[in-house]
Amino acid sequence: MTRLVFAVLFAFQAVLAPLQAQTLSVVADEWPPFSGEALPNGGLSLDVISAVLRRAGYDVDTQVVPWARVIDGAQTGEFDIVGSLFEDAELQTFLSYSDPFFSTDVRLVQRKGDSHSFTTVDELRPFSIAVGDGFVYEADFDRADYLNKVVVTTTLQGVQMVAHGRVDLTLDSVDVIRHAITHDDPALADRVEFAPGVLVSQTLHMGVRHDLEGSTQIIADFNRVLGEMRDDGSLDALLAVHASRLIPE
Amino acid sequence: MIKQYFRDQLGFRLVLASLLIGSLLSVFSTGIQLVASYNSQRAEATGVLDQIETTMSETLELALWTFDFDQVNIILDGIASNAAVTHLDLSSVTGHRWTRGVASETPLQRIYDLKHTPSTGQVQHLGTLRVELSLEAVVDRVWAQFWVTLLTNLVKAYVAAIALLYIVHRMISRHMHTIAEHVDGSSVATPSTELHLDRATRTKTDDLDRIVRAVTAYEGRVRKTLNTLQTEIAERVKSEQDAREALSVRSTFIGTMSHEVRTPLNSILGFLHLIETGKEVPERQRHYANVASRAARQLHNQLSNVLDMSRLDSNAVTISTRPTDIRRLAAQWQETTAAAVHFHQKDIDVTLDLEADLDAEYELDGARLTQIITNLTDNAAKFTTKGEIRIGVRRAPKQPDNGIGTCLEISVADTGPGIAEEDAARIFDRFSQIDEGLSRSHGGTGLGLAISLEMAQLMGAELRLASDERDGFACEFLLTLHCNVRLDSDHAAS
Ligand SMILES: Nc1ncnc2c1ncn2[C@@H]1O[C@H](COP(=O)(O)OP(=O)(O)OP(=O)(O)O)[C@@H](O)[C@H]1O
Ligand SMILES: [Mg+2]
Repeated sequence: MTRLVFAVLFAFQAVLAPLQAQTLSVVADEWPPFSGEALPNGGLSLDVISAVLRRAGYDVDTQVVPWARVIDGAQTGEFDIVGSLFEDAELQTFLSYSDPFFSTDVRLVQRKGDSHSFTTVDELRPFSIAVGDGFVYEADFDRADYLNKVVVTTTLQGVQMVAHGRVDLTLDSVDVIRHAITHDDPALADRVEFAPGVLVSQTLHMGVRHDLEGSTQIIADFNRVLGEMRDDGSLDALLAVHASRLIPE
Repeated sequence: MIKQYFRDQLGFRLVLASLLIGSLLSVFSTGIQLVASYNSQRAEATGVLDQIETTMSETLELALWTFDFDQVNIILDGIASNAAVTHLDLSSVTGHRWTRGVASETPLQRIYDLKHTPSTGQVQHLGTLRVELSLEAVVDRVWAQFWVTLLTNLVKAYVAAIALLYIVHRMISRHMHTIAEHVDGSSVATPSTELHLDRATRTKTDDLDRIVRAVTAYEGRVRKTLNTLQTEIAERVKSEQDAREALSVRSTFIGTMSHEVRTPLNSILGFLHLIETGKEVPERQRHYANVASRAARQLHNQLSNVLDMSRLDSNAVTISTRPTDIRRLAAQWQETTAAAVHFHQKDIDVTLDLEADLDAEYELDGARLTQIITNLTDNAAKFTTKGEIRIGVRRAPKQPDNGIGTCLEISVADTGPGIAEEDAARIFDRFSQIDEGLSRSHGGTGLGLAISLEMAQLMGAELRLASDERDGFACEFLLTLHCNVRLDSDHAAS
C-alpha cells in the first residue's frame, strides 16, 4: 500500500516537472534608454528580454543594479541572465550570447564647432577622451591603452566634460547620448555635437551564464521566439513603446 | 559626633580656611583645564579645515572636474558630517552649486580654490568651496566638562575639609580643651590631679607634650612661690601686730604718763599763779614764783606736744568740721599771739590781714586749725625779737577745679631770723631744731611743726614754708585748706 502511494506520487511529479516554469533572474545596469529603474518596463532591453522569455514559457524576474554587481552576480550565480550587452570577448568567457535584438551606432561627441578629423582609432591619439568606467564600446578602441582616456562614471559626465572643454571627446551609443542630453541636461544640446563618422555599429544581446542549467536551451528558445516576434511584428510593437526615448538625430 | 566637631571653633575655622583655599584652587585649576581643553578642542575643530585641504580637496576636484556629482555629494556629506562644520557652499565654474547647512556669522571659515592640474597644460579653475565652522559645540562641551570637573573638585575639597575637621579635633582641639579645663579647674591652694592627655605615648615629643610639661612645671613653680609668699605674709602679719601692740602700749603709757604729770602740774601752776598775784607776797618771792611758773608752763607745753604726738600715732585724733566764723577765729589767733609776745616781753606788732569778701562761715574744725596756727604763731613769737608778726586769711590763688567749696590760704609771717633754704626740708621732722643754741635758749621739743604738718594732712590741708620772702618778712608759713562754704539760711532754703 505505502509502496503504491510512493509510486503514484513519483509518477505525478515526473509528469508535472516539465510543465513547471523556471524563474529566471534577469539583471541589467543603469544604462538608459536600454535599461534603467525609472524607464517603462525597465527599459528597452529588459522589456524585450522578458517579453521573449515569457513567451517561451519562462518566468522572469528583472532588476537593475550597478554594473560591478551585475558582473559579480553573473559569475557567482546570483543572476542568471544579463541584459543590455554589446559584443565583448571577455564577457563571453562566462556568458553565452543570444542573437541581437537591437542595434545602435557608437559615435564620438565633440564640442560644437570643433573640427577634429579621424578615421581610425590610432588617429584619436592627440585627443583626450572621456570613457565610462568598464564600459564596452568597440574592441580596438577598448584595447587602445595609448589613448588619453579620462575615466568617468556616467555618459552624461563625459558629455558635460566635452561641453566645458575639459576633454576633447567622449563616446557612446547615440541613443544613450541623446537620452542623457534630453533628460539630464538639455542645455548641452547647444554645446555638443556628434563628430562625423560612426566608430562602430553595436548590437544589443542577452547573455546567459554558462553554468546555468539549460542555458543552451534558454538561448535556443529565446532566439526562436525572437525570430517569431520579429516576423509577426510584435517586436516592432514592443520597440515602439520605447521609441519616444529614441529621439532621431 | 559631627556636631561636636563643628562646635570646635578652632577646627571649624581651620576647615573653613582650607575649604576656601580648596575651592579657590579648584576653580583656578578647573579654569586652567578648561582653557587647555578649549584650545585643544578648538585646534581639533579647526584641524578639520586642514584635513579637508589635505584629504578631500583632491578627490573633490577630480569629481568636480569629471562632473561626478554623486561623488561630489558624497564628499560634501562627509565634510558636513563633522559636528564643527555648520555650512558648506560649493560653486563650480560650470554654474553648479551645492550647499549644506545654514550660513552663520562665524570667524572660522576657509575658502578653498578648487582646480584641476593636468599632467601637461594649464591649471584650470573649477570652483570654490567655502567651509564654515562653529565652535558652539566645542564651547558647550567645554562648559559641560568644566562643571563636572568643578563639581568633583569641590566635592573633593569638602570631603577633605570634613576629614581635616575630624583630624584636627582628634589630634589637637580636644587636647587643648583638656589642658584648658585642667588649668581652669586647678586651684593654687590644693594641688589638683596631674594633667594627662588621652593620646598614645610616642618616642618623639611634640608641642602638645611640651605644653603639658610646661603647664605641670609652671604649676609646681607657682605652688612653691606661693608657699614662700604665704610664710612671708604670715611672718609680716605677726610682726606688724607686734609693732602695733608695742606702739599702742607706748602710746597708752605716754598718754597715761602725760596725764599723770599734767594733773599735779596744773595744781603747781595754779598755786604759783596765786603766789604771783598774792597781795602780801614779797617782791623777791613773787619773782621766784614767776620763774617757776614759766618753767612749769614750758613743761606743760612739752607734755601737750608729746601727748598730741602719741595720739596722732595711735590714730586717736579725729577731725570734726563745723560751721565756723573764720574772722572771729582769726581775731582769737591775733589775741593769743599778742599774749605770747607779751609773755616773752617783746616789742612786736601782731597784725591781722583778712581778705575783704570772705564768706561768713566755713565748714572746718576750728580747734585743730587753731592748734596748727598757734604752733606757727608760738614759733614766730619765740624766734622773733622785734618787728611784726602778721596773720593772713584769704582765698587761695588756686581754687578747686570742680568749683565745689573754697580753698583758704592762712599765712603766718614774721620778721625773725628766717629759715635758711638748706634747713627748710627738715624743720617739719620730729624733734628737729635748726639752731641748737637758739632753740635751747627758747626751749621746746622740736615737735610743734611735725604735729602741725600731720594734723594738716589729717584735715586734707597743705602746710609749707613759703619759698619767697615778701613785704620784708623773713619767714612765712602757708596753710592751704579746702573747705566747704556754709551757705546762708536764705540760700539753703531756696
Ligand atoms: N618763725 C620761725 N623763725 C625762725 N625759725 C623757726 C621759726 N619757726 C620754726 N623755726 C625753726 O624750726 C625749728 C622747729 O620748730 P618746732 O616748732 O618744730 O620746734 P620748737 O619750736 O623748737 O619746739 P616746740 O614747738 O616743740 O616747743 C625751731 O627749732 C626753729 O629752729
Ligand atoms: Mg614750736
